[in-house]
Amino acid sequence: MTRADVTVAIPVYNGARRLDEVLAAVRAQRTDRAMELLVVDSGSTDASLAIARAHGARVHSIAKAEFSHGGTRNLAMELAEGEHVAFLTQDATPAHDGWLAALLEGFEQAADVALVFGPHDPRPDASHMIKCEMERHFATWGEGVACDVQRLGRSAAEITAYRRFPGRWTFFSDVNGCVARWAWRRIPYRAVPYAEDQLLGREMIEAGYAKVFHPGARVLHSHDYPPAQFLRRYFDEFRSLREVLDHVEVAHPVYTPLTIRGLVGHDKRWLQRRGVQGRALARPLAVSARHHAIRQAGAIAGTRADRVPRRLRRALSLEGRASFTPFDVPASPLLAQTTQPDGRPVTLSDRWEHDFVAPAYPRRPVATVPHSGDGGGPWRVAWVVPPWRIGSGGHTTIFRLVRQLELRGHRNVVHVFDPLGHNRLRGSQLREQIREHFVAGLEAEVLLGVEDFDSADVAVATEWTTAFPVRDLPRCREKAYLVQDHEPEFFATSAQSIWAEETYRMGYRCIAYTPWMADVLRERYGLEARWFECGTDLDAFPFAGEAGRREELVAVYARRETPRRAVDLAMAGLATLAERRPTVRPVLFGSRQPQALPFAAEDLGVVAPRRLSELYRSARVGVVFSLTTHSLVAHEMMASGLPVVELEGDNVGSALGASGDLVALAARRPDAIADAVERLLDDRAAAATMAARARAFVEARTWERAGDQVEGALREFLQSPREGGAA
Amino acid sequence: MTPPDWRERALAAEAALEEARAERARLWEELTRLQGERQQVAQLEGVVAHMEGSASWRLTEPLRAAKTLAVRVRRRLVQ
Repeated sequence: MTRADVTVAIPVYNGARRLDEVLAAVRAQRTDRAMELLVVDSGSTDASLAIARAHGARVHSIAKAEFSHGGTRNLAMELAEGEHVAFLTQDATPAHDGWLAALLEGFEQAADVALVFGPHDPRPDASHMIKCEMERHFATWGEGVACDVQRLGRSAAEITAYRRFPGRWTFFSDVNGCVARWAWRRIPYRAVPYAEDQLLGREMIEAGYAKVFHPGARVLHSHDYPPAQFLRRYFDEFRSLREVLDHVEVAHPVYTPLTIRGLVGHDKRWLQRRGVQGRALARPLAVSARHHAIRQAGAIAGTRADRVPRRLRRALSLEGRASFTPFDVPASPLLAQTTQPDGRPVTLSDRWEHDFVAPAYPRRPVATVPHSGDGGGPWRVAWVVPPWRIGSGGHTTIFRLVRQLELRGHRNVVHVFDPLGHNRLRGSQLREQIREHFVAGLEAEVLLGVEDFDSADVAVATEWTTAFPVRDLPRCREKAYLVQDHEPEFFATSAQSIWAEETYRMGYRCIAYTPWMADVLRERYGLEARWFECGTDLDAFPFAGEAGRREELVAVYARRETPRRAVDLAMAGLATLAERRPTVRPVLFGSRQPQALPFAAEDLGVVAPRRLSELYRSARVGVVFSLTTHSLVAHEMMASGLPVVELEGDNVGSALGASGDLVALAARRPDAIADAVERLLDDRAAAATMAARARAFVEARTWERAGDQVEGALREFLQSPREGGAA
Repeated sequence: MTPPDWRERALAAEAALEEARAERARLWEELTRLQGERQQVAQLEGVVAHMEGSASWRLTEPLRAAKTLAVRVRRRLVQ
């Protein structure tokens, strides 16, 4: 005799009422697999055994006392010949002859599918509440119409979601479900009094196996009871959910009525979709309200069964069970919390700020598409920028360059890459913010994230974090990196400094702010780099001569938030100066942090450009230090006719001249700084000459020129395609 | 008819290419605008769903229903 491939197993006890219909429907299944029909009877006294035999079922009898939901199904699994065992209950009728084939098809969705289940169609005589509830319940998976594979994900987001709503993953019903023998050998049914299928579903999922919902595996199955019996039925169901999944139903004077109201609302919409309108709704909705109130009462009491006295528990239970036995599911390694007795689990977060780093490896070059080297415009340029604060100098530069390209006819879009979730505004609001606080008239659309990225002639990374997503953006002819500063130096020796440096190994073509930065990129990292120089807003910072400047007033850029401004070195220089020259009056600006100093000074904090302009026009000397790319504050002081003291170094020298004609260059020592400031305070003629030269210097550096430089660089990049550029 | 000179043909082709490039850029810009609007709609839908799902919104629903009913009754009385 041929051994069966698949077994349909049905535990039976006095099920004669529907058993004939159920077994006939099973026998009618169209399948090319050898099928076995197995009935495990636990002492029926009606015609169940005769019906089973009439349909050619293999019948195995056990004593009634030996029955348990989990134990009896384990027995069925042992007795069954098939590698897949489809379970039905004695009142669940396959809805069509493709039911078994659909269940088996579920196992083909993936190699690790342990369980497959299908929907329950309510019987025609079921109440509207039951029909609506079942429809909504099975729509949880694949909208009720598509195959849906459930598997416990490994990411924090997926594990958090699982912990929040485990039923979405764990639900399994052996009223209509199929078990793979290989999986059952590893995880058999547990000997629990009820909800053995929910427990099996949970254990399979937490062991890392897949479970499948197949909409084609439909059965006719529903229960309707009088109200009092419903209360007891729900008590049983929810007690089991507490025992197996530790679910506790919310009991709250406001939320519970709202839940009932919500469930009645579902019924109302369900009835309305079926043409029940107006006054005809009143009666069924009253029945709904009663039913759902009973349901919630059963759910609340059932999930708190541990607090219900034993005798009352038995009275409340439809199956007459007095016990409450929570099942301790073995800890899943996929959900591991702690291994140490004194360990505390870390908070799982789906928003780790450096989430973009891990998938960026193994190293790969920037992705570009091959092209002919056509540099003709208008180009489509996608700028990827980090979130900003109003007043951010780096962003002002980026948006001014975007505007310059717009004025040259190119089309631009700004993508805000925000892995930390700082931004709370919509794209349209961000666009308005740019127009109001950075660059008036900017036309580019602002999109959140890079998920909506479509294509571009050039995608531009503008900061080290953005270089990670831009590298892999698809359908780009070229990728450029606007490097305004040597960002690895922004961080102490750290992961961030490593990652910032990593962006220089991605193979970007760079447009650096200042020739010095371009030299760093070329010489230190071997990158192809062009450069541009920023313009200065000459209207905001008009030139002022000697008249009106106050004696001994020194304007000092003291932005403590950015260590590269060497604020404490400036303070050391001023302390030396104040000892020599007690009349000196330093005015600090640019920082929100409090300053505590060993000399008299005043602090403006962060102020608007207009107030800064006033300060620059009234001070005698400006002090602004830069250890990497020089600050635009120096340009603004120079535009205002304020003689500037900067630190010596290639970074400043290559941009502002190493001769000291445009700005006074001080060695990186307090005494040298004090000397430089004092010289400018004392030698007014030399200071005035320097100020005039400096003004001419910044006048020549306009934003139009910067726009030309950036456009020229991009054109060069586009006209010289990369060899073997690959998507 | 004499075939046009190759220079003319080249110029015409270049003009057509330029036109195509401009059209492509315009369509791309239109696409980004649509994406922006789509993002905005999705965000606003999220805000509405959050608001309508809040306990305060649901708690005050009877007040809104009463107001709607009152307006309806008033309209009927006026008619």
